[in-house]
This record gives sequence, structure tokens and C-alpha cells, in this order.
Amino acid sequence: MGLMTNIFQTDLIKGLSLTIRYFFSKPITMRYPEERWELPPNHRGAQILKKHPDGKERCVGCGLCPEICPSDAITLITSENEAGDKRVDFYEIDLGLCIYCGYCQEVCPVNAVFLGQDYELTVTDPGRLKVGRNEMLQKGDDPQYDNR
Amino acid sequence: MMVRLTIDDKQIMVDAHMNILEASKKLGIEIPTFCYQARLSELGACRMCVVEVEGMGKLQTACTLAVAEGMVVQTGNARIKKARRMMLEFLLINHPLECTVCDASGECTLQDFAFKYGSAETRFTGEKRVLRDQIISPLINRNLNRCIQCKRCVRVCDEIQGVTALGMSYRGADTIVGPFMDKSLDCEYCSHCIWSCPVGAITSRAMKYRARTWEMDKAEAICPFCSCGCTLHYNHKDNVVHRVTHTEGRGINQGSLCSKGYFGYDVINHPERITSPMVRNAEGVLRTVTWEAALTTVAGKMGQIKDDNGGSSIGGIVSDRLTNEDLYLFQKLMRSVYSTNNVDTPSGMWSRAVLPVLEDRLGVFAATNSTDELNYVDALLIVGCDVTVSHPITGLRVKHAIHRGGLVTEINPRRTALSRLAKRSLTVAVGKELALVKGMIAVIIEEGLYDSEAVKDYKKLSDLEFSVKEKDLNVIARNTDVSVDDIVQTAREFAGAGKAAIIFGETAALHSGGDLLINALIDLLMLTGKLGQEGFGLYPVIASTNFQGTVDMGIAPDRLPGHVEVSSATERKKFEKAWNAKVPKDTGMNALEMIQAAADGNLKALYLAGVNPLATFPGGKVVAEALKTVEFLVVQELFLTETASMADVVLPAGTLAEKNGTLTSMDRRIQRTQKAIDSVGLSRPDWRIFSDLGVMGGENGMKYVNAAEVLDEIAQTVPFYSGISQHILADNGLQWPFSREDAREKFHEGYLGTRHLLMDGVPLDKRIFSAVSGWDTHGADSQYPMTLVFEDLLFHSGSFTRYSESLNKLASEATLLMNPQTGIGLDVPDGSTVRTVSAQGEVSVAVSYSEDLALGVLFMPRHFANAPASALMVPGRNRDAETAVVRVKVVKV
Amino acid sequence: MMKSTEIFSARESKEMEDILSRYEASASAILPLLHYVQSIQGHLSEEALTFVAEFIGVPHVRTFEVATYYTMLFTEPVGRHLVQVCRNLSCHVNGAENVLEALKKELGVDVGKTSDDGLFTLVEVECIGACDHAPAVMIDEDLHRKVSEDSVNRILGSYREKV
Repeated sequence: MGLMTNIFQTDLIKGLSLTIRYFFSKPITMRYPEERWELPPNHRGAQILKKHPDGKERCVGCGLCPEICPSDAITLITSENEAGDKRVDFYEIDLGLCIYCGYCQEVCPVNAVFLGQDYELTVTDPGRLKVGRNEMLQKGDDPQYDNR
Repeated sequence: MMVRLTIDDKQIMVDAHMNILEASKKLGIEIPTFCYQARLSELGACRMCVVEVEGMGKLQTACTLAVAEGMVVQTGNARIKKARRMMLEFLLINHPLECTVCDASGECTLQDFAFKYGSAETRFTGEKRVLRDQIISPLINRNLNRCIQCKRCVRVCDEIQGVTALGMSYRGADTIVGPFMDKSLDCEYCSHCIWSCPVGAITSRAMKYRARTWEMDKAEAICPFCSCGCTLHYNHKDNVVHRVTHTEGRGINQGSLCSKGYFGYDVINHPERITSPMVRNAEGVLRTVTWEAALTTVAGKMGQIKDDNGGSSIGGIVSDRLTNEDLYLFQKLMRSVYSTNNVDTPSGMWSRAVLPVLEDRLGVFAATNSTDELNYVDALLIVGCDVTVSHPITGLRVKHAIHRGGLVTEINPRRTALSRLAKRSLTVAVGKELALVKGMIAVIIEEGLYDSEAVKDYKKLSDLEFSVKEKDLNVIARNTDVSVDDIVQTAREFAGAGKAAIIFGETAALHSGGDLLINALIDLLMLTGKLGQEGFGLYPVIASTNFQGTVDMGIAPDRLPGHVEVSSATERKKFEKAWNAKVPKDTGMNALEMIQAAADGNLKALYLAGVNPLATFPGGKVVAEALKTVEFLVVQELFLTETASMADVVLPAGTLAEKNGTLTSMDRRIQRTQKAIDSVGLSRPDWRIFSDLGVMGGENGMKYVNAAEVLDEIAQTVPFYSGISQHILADNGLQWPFSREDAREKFHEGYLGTRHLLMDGVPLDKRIFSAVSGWDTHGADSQYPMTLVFEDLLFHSGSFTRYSESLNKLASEATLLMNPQTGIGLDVPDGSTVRTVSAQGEVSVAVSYSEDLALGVLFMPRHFANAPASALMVPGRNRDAETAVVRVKVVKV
Repeated sequence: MMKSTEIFSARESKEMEDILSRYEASASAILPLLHYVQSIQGHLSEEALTFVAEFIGVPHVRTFEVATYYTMLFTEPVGRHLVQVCRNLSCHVNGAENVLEALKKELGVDVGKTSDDGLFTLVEVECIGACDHAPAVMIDEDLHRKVSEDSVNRILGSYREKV
């Protein structure tokens, strides 16, 4: 038996035939980054912040998302502005801590924060995982990250 | 009388004075209410607490309806639920739905009740009313749109604080809460209105929009601003204190705070706090160094000076704001490591002026009674202080007594906030109080109003009689500018009252003849038998937070912990054994002597922990000279003060919010204060710095892991703190002296220690009247004819509060107060600058006229940089030093 | 504290003392005193409210509360004559609205405002008890019954003449 296989190299042929078959079949992998995933509408990616149609920020700084966040990823600092209204001084989400549970989106009383479509979160510097308010607002304006 | 009634099918026996709301609470039945608060009058404004009473057709408000025998009450049937739901619907017609940003959200009664009793929908869809201005003061925020007209703020301002700054103006749907003419708020900023508002209509601007209620953790601490010893909670988030709260019924303050306690917390996270140790380098510049380096420098230099010049060339002055643990370790460091008794505190000047008299006459060295007993006094004499300013919460007790009909007489060189409420306010020039008190004694003896049973075994009654009869009452009245009738009435009221007490303060006691006045006051108490029982007694009041702690912990050149004499060999031996080190036997120098010695070059090293002598000590020039001359100056501080910037080594210390420990209030109550936040920057709690230095100085007995260990040692060495521990103090404070066993076993049952001293009466050998001679304790000086009194302000209690931005918004500059009659010869318009000159120096300050002052008396706050009080204060030995009351002349510029 | 003689004549001060002495609890004199001071000064200024509060020994805000509660007390200056137009049901159905419009036009001011010559202040009030003669207008203490658009001019004229 061993001799026959050795002589005719049947294993090799078997293997090659598989290779050749797959060579001509439709590939399963994606040519990233030329090709990207078509995400389901409720995909939970990095957070985005939305604005009102008139360009005003929706976020009022109520403090519910940092409170509900199970991994303590959200930092919010607020104060009083000149007009006596509430002002958000600092808003940051640490995507390294975030578990993408979507509670922040769920709890938001003014529909300001959403989990967007951005899933390309790999960075070389861990500090870059902390996403600030401006970046999230920009993403909110960008249809690429927003499917709503 | 007790009555039996049925609430929700449950029977209960309650006092007939009770209302249905309270009776239900006893049964554990919650009746929702907005406008009712136990210590305020009932109003029945909110209609939330409606209940159904059998036999009464309409629904009744539970808060205004007294219980009655056989009453049958329903608190939660369908009819009531519907009524409540409708009430909430009405309230929410105009209440804005901005819970997402409202600072009260999470603690809002309306929010809670709407959730629990309200309906999710409303039938009213019109526009909500939007009212005008939202801000009525720099610190208090008013949002009328949120107001539900429960009138709690108005009532608390009137009934508890006695200020009545807020009222309900206009009518019907336009009703608004606001101050007079709806202008800006001019009040004591006691924070009662903020605390009592059930919604977010009145909130603190200091924390506006900075944190949500649920985000903050709370730590129970003791207020650092005066010796009342109020319990408060630091609310902190991310290591920043965002606000202060208090709990109804908890602590000495029972759910009240004052402006300093409520708004002064921003000192803790002030951006100018020193965050790392600094050492002056070869070029003479303060440079940031590591703790290791700084402590090594201090230990090395101190050791060297001690070896070269002896311990007596080292001195230490420690702040009376620190905890007992800090104070104990400071004097232990000084005595056992640096071998010196040169230990003192700024309030030592006060305690050395007052306590020897109390010890000599009564055998006590503290206030005889508890401050909460003042709630129920029938007559009260307040001599030479404004207790509502120096001790606002003790002031509330006095106001409560007045509210109950207590007869309060104020004898002070100026009219105060209490004058309007008090029965009588006698404006008397400094030094003339003694004549008044002697006049009262004369009346009491003359009319036989004294307690003949009590004075039976007292000696020298005839001497007393003789001493007060020297002058006729009419002469006294003329000299003091008080009517004879006032003197007679005050004397009769005091002698005839069931409970009567005396409060006296700095102005009365801290001048050359102050001891005579204290003696006369004690004579008055002895004569009328008002000692040794609840509601009686003598209260010396000084603002310094832990001044009683400094007394108890031996922060004095002649006293060891436990108020025992340094000169006693047996006491020294006891401490030498406990500390395993030598205790120097010679009495040391007090603070003023140390400064003088430093200026003369005799004191080589000075350790200043939390004190700023350049701003607060007499003789500005001498102090500056001393700080410059002294070879080695260590300053342990929160801020880079005038003094700290002259130091060789600056050590960053922590505020009360950053450490555990105990404080002793003015009525001997030892209370626990807890750490709220981690030390700011690299700063360390004071006790830890002292401990580290002790260990570096070669003293292993100075090694402590935490403040509780220090307290354990205090419990071993200070007899009247014996048995104390952090554990025992968890629920309540403990007033010394206390029984060690009771403290251990009954602390959780509300054992509070000794409420008042002298329960067995005045010690037998001290039952003697002093019969002081003399009538004027503050003689005239032709060169400096006027008397300047340094005062505390309601919004500032020391140089520490200067760093509070909130409090600075209320008051940040000194003016010189003067009676227009006094100023006639001066001929300067109101607001113009004058030179105030004392024997020591002078300051230029704007004058402000007020008719509330006695003739020839001037008032000035001592805390502000624009008028440095220290430049005017005259140094001297103990009583000769003019620190609270200074003779001055005023010169037109 | 201001002394009464600094603001008022001796006779007026005496009158106020008299009013105060009529009441056992001095706080009860608050309304009569406010009325009296208003009758002298035309309205209740900040000084007047402060004075009355200190005169009877109540906190300042108390007089402000009372003065803003009652419609017949004014915290803002008003014209020499107060024109009060009833807006209740009877008057309304009998044409009070037209009367009010006519008054507005005649005086050239809106409700709550004072005419430029400082003579009249126009206000709306609830029922003044003259329903049987609706529409009714009350000017100062005088009641004018069955007022019509045409009679407005004549009525106002009679007050103008008085000046």
C-alpha cells in the first residue's frame, strides 16, 4: 500500500486537486482594505455623537452614560457657561475599555450618542484609543459611520 | 395626652399634638408631601399629602390635621391616588422637563413622586410658563420655572435662620419666590434654602452643572471652619470635592450649615494648593524636591541645630485647625525628638487669657455645658461677641431659644444680626461691660434675687456686695450709656430664669482687663446658682476649629497632653515612659516669645505648621524680621502664603477632607472626621509628616501606620481621652470626661459622655466670690483714643478662607466700620480712605459709617490683605498683647 | 433706619403713628400704612416699602409681598388718575372690549401703561360690583356706569379739566 502511494504520489495529487479546485472557485476572504464588510444596521462599533439639524450639539451633558457604563469607559466634565446653561467641557470614551454593550446609546435621553459603524479600531499607540468629543462629532456627521 | 387612631386599618397610640403625617410615619406608611418639613410650621400648600378621614367629606391634608381619638384614616385608596395624580399633573403643567440637566435630579422630590404617584401622560399641552431672571446672587441660583411654591425656603429663612430674606411676591399663577424688590439676595448665605428646596428651583451656583447627585460619593467629616464641630458630608467625584451636604438630625448641627461650611469647600481643590515639597537651593530659590530629600533636609538641619544650640533654640507653632492626632504628634515631635517645650498655637493667646481664670475659679478648662442646651435657655447673656458670625450654628441655637421666648440680652460694642431678634441689645464701649455686669450683680443682691441656697457656703459674699455697691446704678448707667431700667430688667430676667447661661467672646476677654470681666461673669453665675445643670453655664467662644484640641493635646509651652503641667516631674515621667524619650523640664516660649527670640537671633529653627504669622500675628515688622533672621524655617502649609514663601523648606500638607482623625469641638465633643479624597498632588496628611520626621530623627516610637494608631496612643496617655477609639466615635461624638466602660459598651446606644461639667457643683475649695474691684477694663489712652475691634466675618473665619473663591465673592475686602458720631471730628466722607494708627503700625483703609457701633469703637475684619491686621496688633506678653482689641487713632489722609 | 420726619411732614408722621397705635400687633398695620403712604406718594417706591417695614418692625420682604399681592397697591409709578376697566362677564357681553379699545386709542397706551402726559394709567380689573350698569369703568374712586365708546372722550375730558 505504502509503495503504491509512494510511486503514484496519490496524496500529492489529492492535495493539488483541492488547491486547483479552490483556485477557480469564488474566494471566501475579503480583499481588505479594498473591500469592506457590509455591516448589519445595528452593528455596535465605536461611538458617534449626533447633532441637531441646525448644527447644535444634541448632548446636554446629563451624565447618564458615564453612570451606566459597565466598564467605566466614559469621562464627562461639565460646568456652567456664560449664559448660565450647562456646557460639556470634556467628553471622552476609552475604546480600550469599552465593551460595546450599547448601554450608553440606550440610556441617552436626547439621542446624542450612538454606536456607529466604525470597526477599524486597531492602533499602535494605546493612547489613541481614547476618543474625544470632536472626533465623535465628526464621525456623527460622516455617513460612513452612521447608518441612521 | 395620647390618642388612639386607625390608619390604613392599623391601630396606633400617639401624642395628641402629632399630625397625621407624623403618625403615619410611625407606622411606616409613607404619605407623599412637598411642603411639610418637621422643623418648619405646617402650611398645607402642596395638597400632596391628602388623606381620607372617616366622617369628613372632603379629603384632608395630613400635615395640618391633628390626630384625634378614634379617627379612622385612609392614606392610599383610589380616591386619594386620583387626587395625588391630579396634583402632580397640575404641578407639571409649568415645571420644565429638564431633569437631564437639572442639578436636583436624583434628589428631587417631584421627580420621585411623579415616578411613584404620577401618571405618564398629561392633559395639559399648552406652553409652559417661562419666567425671568434665574440668578439672584453670586452663589445661589434661582430657577423660578422649576418652583412649585411649597414655601419651604421662605419658611426656613424666617423660622430657622431668622433672616427672612425670601418672600412670596405677586399672586396666583405669577407667584414668585424672591428677595425684597426681587433684587439680588442680601443674606447670610446659610444654604438653608438650597437644602430645603424639594425641586431644583434654588440650587448652589458653586456646583452648578459640575456633577450629578448620583455620581458623587459621600464621606462624613467635621467642618474645618469653626469650633462648633458640625457634621457634614463631602460629596466627591474623581478626587474633587463638588459640594457639601448634611443630614437632617445628624451631628451637632442637626441638618444646618453656615455659609463657610456650605460654600468654603473649594479651598480643598484650589488650583494654588502646594502639591510637592520644596527646598530653598543655594541660589535662594524654592525648588521642588522629593519627599525623601525634603524630610532629610529638615531632620538633618533640626538635628544639627539641636546638637549645636540645644533644643531650646528650636520652636514650633502649629495651627489650631489640625486634628487631635496631628497636634499630639507635633508636640511629641517637638518634645521627644527636638527636646524643646517651645510649642504653641495662635489660639494659645486666647486660651492662656481665659482658661487660667476658669481653672482658678471653677476647676474646669473648657465650656461648662453643651451648645445644644442653648436651644432651651430661658435667659442668655451674650457678652463681647457676635455668636451668629463666629459660630453660626451655635447662633442658630440662640435663635431657636429666642423663637421659644427665651430672653436674650446682648452686650456688645456693636449691634449684630441677633439684635433685631433679641429681647435687648445693649451697645456698650469695650471695657465697660464689667460695670454693667457689676450693676446686674448689685441689683440681684439688692432685690434678694440670688439663689440663697446655692450661696450658703460661699465665702466673700459681703466683699462682693461691697465691691458692686461702690457706684450707684445711675452712675453706671450714665457711664455705660445704658438705661437703669435695662440693667435692672436684665438682672431680674437672668436671676429669675429657669435656665440661664452666659456666652462671652474675644472682645470681652482678650484685652488687658478681660480677666476681671470673666471673674465678674463667674460671680454672677455663682450668685444666681446657674452652674452645673442643663441649660446653665459659661461658654467661652473662639472660632479656631480645634482650639479645645490644642488645649487637650498639650500644645502649650507649659502643658503636656491632658492639660498637665510640664513642671511636674511625675507627669513628665509618665510621658517619658510612654514615649521612651526625655521630656524637657523647662517651660518653653509661647508663640509671641518665639517670634521675638527668632528676631533677636536666639531661636535658630522655627517649624510653622499651618500658621501664617505674617498675616495673623501682632507686630508685622517683628514677624518679618524674625522669619528673615531665623536660621532654619520650615513651613507646612496648604498654600504658598506670605510666610511659606520665606521658608527654607515648604512641606505640602492636606486639608481635613484628605485625612482621618478626630477633632474636639468647643463643647468638649470629640468627633471623628473621615477622609473623603486622596491627598492632592504629593501632599501628605500632617500627622504623617510629623511621624516621618520623628522616625528620621531617630525616634522609633514615632512610627505610625495610620491616624487610628495615634488616637490609640492618645487614649493611653491622655486621662480624659482614655478608651477613645475611631470605632467608638463611629456613630456619635463623645464629650469628655466620659466613662471608659460606658464608652466601650454603650457607644452604639447613643452614649454621649458628659453633657455638662460641675454636676456636683463648684468644687468646695473654689466656692469663693472674687469680688473684682475696678469698673473699666480697657482704660483710655490719650494718644490712641479709639478702640479697634478685629472681627470675624460671617463669610470668612481666617486666612484659610481667603482662598475660597466662593466666599470671596461674598466679601473680599476690609473696610473700617465707624459710628458717624465718632467720625464727626474726622470730617471724611463715607467710603474715603483713612489711616488707622496703633502703637505698632498703621494701615490705610476705606471708612464705612454705621450707627450700629458704640461711640469710639471701630470694627475691622482681620482676614484681608488690603488691611493687614497684623500691622496694627501690638505684641506683648499674654494680656499686654493687643490682638483682638487694639487702641488706635484715626487720621484723615 | 430712616426717620419718618425725613420723608413725611409732621402731620403725616403723626397720622402714621396713629394708624400704628390702632393695632395690637404692629404687623397688622401693614395694609393701612401702605394705603396711606400710597395716598401721599402715588405709588409704593422701594424707599417707601423699606420705610414702612422698618416703621412697624417687620422684615423688608414682608411689605414687598403685600404690595405685590394686592392690585390696588402699586410698586411702579402710576398716572394721576387710575382708569380701571372691568373685564368680567356682564361688562364683557355689554361691550367692555370696545370701551377698552376706545380708551386705548384715546389715551394712546396699552393696558398697564401710563399716558404720555402722566395723567392716566389704564388697567383691567375683575368685577367691581356694577354688573347692573355694565359696562362699568372706575376712575380713581368714581364709578362710571354704562360707558360706551362715545362717552369715553367726555369722561376723560372731565378729569383733564380738573388739572
